[in-house]
Amino acid sequence: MISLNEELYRIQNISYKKENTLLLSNIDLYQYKGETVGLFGLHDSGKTLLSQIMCGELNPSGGYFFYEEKPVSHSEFSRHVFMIQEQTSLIGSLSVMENLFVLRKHRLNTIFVRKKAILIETINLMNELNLSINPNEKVCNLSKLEQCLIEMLKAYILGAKLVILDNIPITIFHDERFSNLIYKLKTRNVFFLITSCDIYQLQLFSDRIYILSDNHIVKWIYNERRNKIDISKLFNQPITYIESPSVFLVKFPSV
Amino acid sequence: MKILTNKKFYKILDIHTKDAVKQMERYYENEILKKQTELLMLQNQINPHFLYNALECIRAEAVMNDNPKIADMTYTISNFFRYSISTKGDLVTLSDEINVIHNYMKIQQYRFRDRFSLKVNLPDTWANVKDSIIPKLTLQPIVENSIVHAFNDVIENALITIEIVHTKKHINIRVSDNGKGMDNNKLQQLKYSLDQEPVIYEPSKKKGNGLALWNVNRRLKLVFGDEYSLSIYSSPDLGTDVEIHIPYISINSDFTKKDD
Repeated sequence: MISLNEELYRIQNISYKKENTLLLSNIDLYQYKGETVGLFGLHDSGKTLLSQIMCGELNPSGGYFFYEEKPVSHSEFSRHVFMIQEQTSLIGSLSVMENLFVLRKHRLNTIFVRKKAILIETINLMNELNLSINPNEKVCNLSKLEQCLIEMLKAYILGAKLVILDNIPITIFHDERFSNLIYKLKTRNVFFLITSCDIYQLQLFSDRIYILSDNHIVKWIYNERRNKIDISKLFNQPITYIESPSVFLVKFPSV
Repeated sequence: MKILTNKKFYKILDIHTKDAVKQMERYYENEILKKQTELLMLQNQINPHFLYNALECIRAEAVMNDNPKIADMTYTISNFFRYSISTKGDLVTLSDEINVIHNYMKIQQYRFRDRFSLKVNLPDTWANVKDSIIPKLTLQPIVENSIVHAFNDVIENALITIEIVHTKKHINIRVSDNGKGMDNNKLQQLKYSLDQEPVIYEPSKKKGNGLALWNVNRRLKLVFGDEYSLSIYSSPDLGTDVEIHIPYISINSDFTKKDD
């Protein structure tokens, strides 16, 4: 049977103006279900700004949003998006399970926390996704990687379909637990947009890479063709990277 | 029955009048654009039948003189003009559009001795999608732009790639070239010009950069709605990509019957 591509989302002609300065101009970006997309840009190119617009933290000056091929409002669109940044948004003084299940929008008609219930729910979820982090551990005692994994879990629990990994350190990307969780979440219809100023980092997971320069998208390329082009040509200046010797390409079966 | 205040009544009237005016504007603009496209193609008011007959005579002569290359070239040109000049509706199938690109490239390859090549990546679902509608001459001006602007300094390995992706409700078409591309300023200018108000084409003026793309973009918006438009990506030495995102609508659907 021939399977059709399904578009997860599309943003069209998105612009963002602040005090008469155009910070993002005519951004077009889309992602198919099953693929991971990278967004490459130098510092201050607008990657985080675009991520903030997509997850609803900022309102664009203009543009269209599509979710699953239907036109939707910005607020409707952002309900499906969750952003994870280098600085964790979890509460350090609370435990893992409290961060996962207490600090979420819910419709429970109760003001009491049912500790036993959320503990069981956390353990089940951890088992389901093959994670071994103590649910009772305070988040401030976790490593950066573990904090990131918990945020990814939280995104999944909240029903996000697109998780934006905004400028996450490359060391996290090299950990097997991180790549395993990405793979497992993809099989559960949660997809990833990764932003970075390191093209090699994006090459680890992305199927396609968008290139943001001077506040607009200048190109997108398939990951497998990436090495054929000299990326420094995009910025009219040589871009030097310190490539980690442990850089490897992770290949997963397509979802 | 509802009793309205004067203010409310005029407000409702105003909304309806504005809607009606907007619809009329869209209709007339679409008509003007259709005419502009025809004008662009007709150029010097060539009588189409005269042209087809002349080309057919050349082809017959070439066949009789055992010159298959000239016969083939004439046949290709004849087909190309038949499609371009034909005034039968503004909406065609995607399959027709791809065929005309093959014809057009064949003509250019004859002219420039295979300097350019074309690669068309069709989706696995092509059989289902080829009857989808698209405004006539949407792809050809984009390919022509690549040949005229992207490859004017390129002597070999000039490649134009057309990639079609069929999603549940839409079709994404990407026309890429590996030509010289353009710098940020030029790209911004081109993108800005696409969103400008309608301009009336004057045949006496030299064909400007971006007019063809503006025309394509405008027709896509008029036919499918404002949320559908061209996306352009380009970078110096890395080529230019033009993406078209349109809804999948079969030629046999009610949408095209309305258009007739």
